[in-house]
Amino acid sequence: MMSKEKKIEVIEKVKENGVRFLRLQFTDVTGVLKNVAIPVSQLEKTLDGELMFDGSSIEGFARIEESDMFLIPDPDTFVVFPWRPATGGVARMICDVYTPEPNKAPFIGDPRSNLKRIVKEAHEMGFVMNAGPECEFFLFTVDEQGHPVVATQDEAGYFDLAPVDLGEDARRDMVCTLEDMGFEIEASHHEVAPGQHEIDFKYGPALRVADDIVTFKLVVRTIAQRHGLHATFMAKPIAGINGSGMHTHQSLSSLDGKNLFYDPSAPHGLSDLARWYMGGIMSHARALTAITNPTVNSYKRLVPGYEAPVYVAWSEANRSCLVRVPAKRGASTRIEVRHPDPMCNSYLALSVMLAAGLDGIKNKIEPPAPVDANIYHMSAADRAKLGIPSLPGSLPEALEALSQDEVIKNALGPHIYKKFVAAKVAEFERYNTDVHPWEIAEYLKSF
Amino acid sequence: MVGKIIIAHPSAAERKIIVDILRKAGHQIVAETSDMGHTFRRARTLYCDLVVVDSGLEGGTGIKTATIIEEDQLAAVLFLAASDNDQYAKRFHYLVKPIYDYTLVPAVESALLFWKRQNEMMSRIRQLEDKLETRKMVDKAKALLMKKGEMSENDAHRFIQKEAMRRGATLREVAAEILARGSLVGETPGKESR
Repeated sequence: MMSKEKKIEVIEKVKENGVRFLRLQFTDVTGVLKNVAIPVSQLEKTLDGELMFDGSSIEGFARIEESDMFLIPDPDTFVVFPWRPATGGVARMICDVYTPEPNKAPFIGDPRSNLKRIVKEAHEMGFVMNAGPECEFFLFTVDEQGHPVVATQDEAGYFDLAPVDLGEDARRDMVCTLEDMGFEIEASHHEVAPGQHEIDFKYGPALRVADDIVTFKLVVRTIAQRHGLHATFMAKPIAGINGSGMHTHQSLSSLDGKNLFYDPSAPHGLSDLARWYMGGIMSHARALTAITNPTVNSYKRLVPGYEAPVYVAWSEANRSCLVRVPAKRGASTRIEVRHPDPMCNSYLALSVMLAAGLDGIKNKIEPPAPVDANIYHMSAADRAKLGIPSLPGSLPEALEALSQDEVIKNALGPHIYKKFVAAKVAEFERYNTDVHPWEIAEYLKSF
Repeated sequence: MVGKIIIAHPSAAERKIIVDILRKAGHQIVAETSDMGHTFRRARTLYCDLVVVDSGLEGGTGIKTATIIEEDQLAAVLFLAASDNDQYAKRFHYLVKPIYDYTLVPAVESALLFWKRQNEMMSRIRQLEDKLETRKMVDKAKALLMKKGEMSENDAHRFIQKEAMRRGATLREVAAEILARGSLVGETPGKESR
């Protein structure tokens, strides 16, 4: 299970850093981070893979009768949280979820184990997926009760006017904290919308990046709170201004680390593999959108005019397309998939994108010709002539597309697929039966 | 000593009493807040020396507020505890309520004094750490130059000094580059790295 050396290494780090509590982390099907906190006295037992928890209370996990599950920590994810020095250290490890005895095995409903399965499939084909996400988020102030206030005008106390810019200061603190935790930050900047920020970290192998995204969100929210702010990864918190995306750069390398997307002799410098991978992403785009853009709110971001993609097309420069191929070639040759948003479960999002790309390679799916015009400005007839489909316009449409795509369903496995769809259908039902402020404003006085 | 102070207290009436006492003693009140979020936003954006934190702060506890202000070294904290068996309060400068001018003013002033001393010590420690690190790196770089460039220790030291002067860089930066690139000897002067 876990090598003895790794185990000793973790125990040493715990002692060295005065760690008193460990948080064992995993995500549920919808991508919400779950925590089991254990005192250090339970460390050895946990490292031996003997820690049980009740899986029946987790969204999309098991039924009551099979509720006892194991948490198997991944020692490579051990990190001490930098922000609690005064009260004794807290560290975390990300875990895989295992089914109970007698046949203790990776649980098929665990998103992280699922990504491992797809990564292994790629490995067997001779590929390693590298991914680099660009997470955007908003910083809002909080009111007297600590609840976030969705206001972006300076008059509304968005950022108090003062010698120091609150948002910049918080972001700098986030970057420092992430660096303390071993992240390599490539860029951090203010985004298009007021109060919107972006922090990009270095690309890496799919599993590590999926872990990093989870950690990243936790750090950003924690540090924001320490600055009297609330960080949200909601895709479209305010109508009429840009939403938050999680553009995901991706490429395949060989097992010895050579970029396989680059071919200097081919058109655009893209290898056959790169084209087919892109072809796979594009042909499964409508189905995998249900996973990469998993909420009612996600589809309010995927509308024309705010740099979010709406149509299934690719280009080298045009940012209205689903896939952009950044100008860099050589070892940096990659494609950028622009529609995911940070509300997604990072493990599942990378699972479905990788599986779609691999399917493109297996079936040599050619992508259509690039579209360099701004598709926002095209008419429906022009788009039909060029054969440019739209992304799903709503959560139900995306779920419908997902239900018809066996490749993406396989990339989730039957358990996750079923639980995911059930959770999302219920979510849409709640949305649909609620009466929203817009309806009150629109109809209450007129009728 | 006088200081710039933020008063974080949920009750406007109590805040007024505290503000009046401290103003009379010559302190400058830079902000008044009633909840945790607002206190952090003020403490991080205004230059202040001390935050008076009441245990009953809204939107998160007073203890949490005081802890984060201390951990991130935003300012000194004077904690107003509701009772004398509040164990958490003992991690800070604290007063047990009710508040009187003849206890509040000395408590504020001693908290300010210790904050000033602590800052002086911290900046002295940082300077020393920095110097120690520079010396370690220069020594390593010198050793490398002595070995690779067959220089005497004096020449190696002089080489690093001259290189630093020529580039307008610090000794440490030059030493780091020597260590990173194995040596700098024999490279064309004026040719910058990369």
